[in-house]
Amino acid sequence: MSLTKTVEIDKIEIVNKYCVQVRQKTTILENDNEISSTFSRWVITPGSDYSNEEHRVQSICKVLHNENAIREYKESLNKPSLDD
Amino acid sequence: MPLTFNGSGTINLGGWSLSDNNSNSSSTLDDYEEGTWNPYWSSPSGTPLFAGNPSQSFGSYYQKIGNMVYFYSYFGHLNSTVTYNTGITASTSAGISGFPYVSTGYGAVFCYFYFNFVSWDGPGYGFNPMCYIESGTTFAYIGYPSTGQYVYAGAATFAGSNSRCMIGGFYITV
Repeated sequence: MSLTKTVEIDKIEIVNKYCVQVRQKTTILENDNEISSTFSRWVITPGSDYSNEEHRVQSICKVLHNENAIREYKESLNKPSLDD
Repeated sequence: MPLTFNGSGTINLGGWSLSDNNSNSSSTLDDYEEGTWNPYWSSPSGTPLFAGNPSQSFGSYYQKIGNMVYFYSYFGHLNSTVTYNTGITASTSAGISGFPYVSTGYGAVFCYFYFNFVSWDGPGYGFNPMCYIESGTTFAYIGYPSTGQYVYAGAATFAGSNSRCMIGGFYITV
């Protein structure tokens, strides 16, 4: 019997035009059969540091998080819609 | 009523269904997930207030049922002091980032800060904060009522050891 643990980004989604939603799956395998798994999630918003993200996530952020996206996102935070 | 499987990812359970396809039916559960997340204090743009001192989670969990996200966290920072010079405006306030999904509507956040956790640019210790997650973001503003208005809590100084925060709530996502 061999137990192994794998950690991988198993889902990358783009939500609300430019927010990159990431899901990490941690799996415990016994003889290559999954016996347990857990998820962890986070979101990378325009302007956030993504230098420590997995290379696929970085590639997507590089394309999406251009100056316009960063400015638009910051403006939405600078003036919350509840203030309208 | 028999349990039936239609062969395309939907299980019919009498009056309701489980489906792995997006459904517009109000009697179909088309998504479920649970996991962990990592909240942290930040500016609205997501810049951590405690740079180099990651938040310490004592349990941060979420459950997504359909398009509703329920979350809980007990987290803090040990031996942290940071001065965050702000005014009390939305763009310069301090709040919480790291939510597991992008909010697509306003989210309700219930929170409790340990006494002596933070000195605010607002009411003194022990005030009852009002928090919400802004639509389209993963940021929770923190504020308080003042003369009938919602005032953003710009934090002057986050200081002290054993700072703790408990939050929970829910919001809509896609």
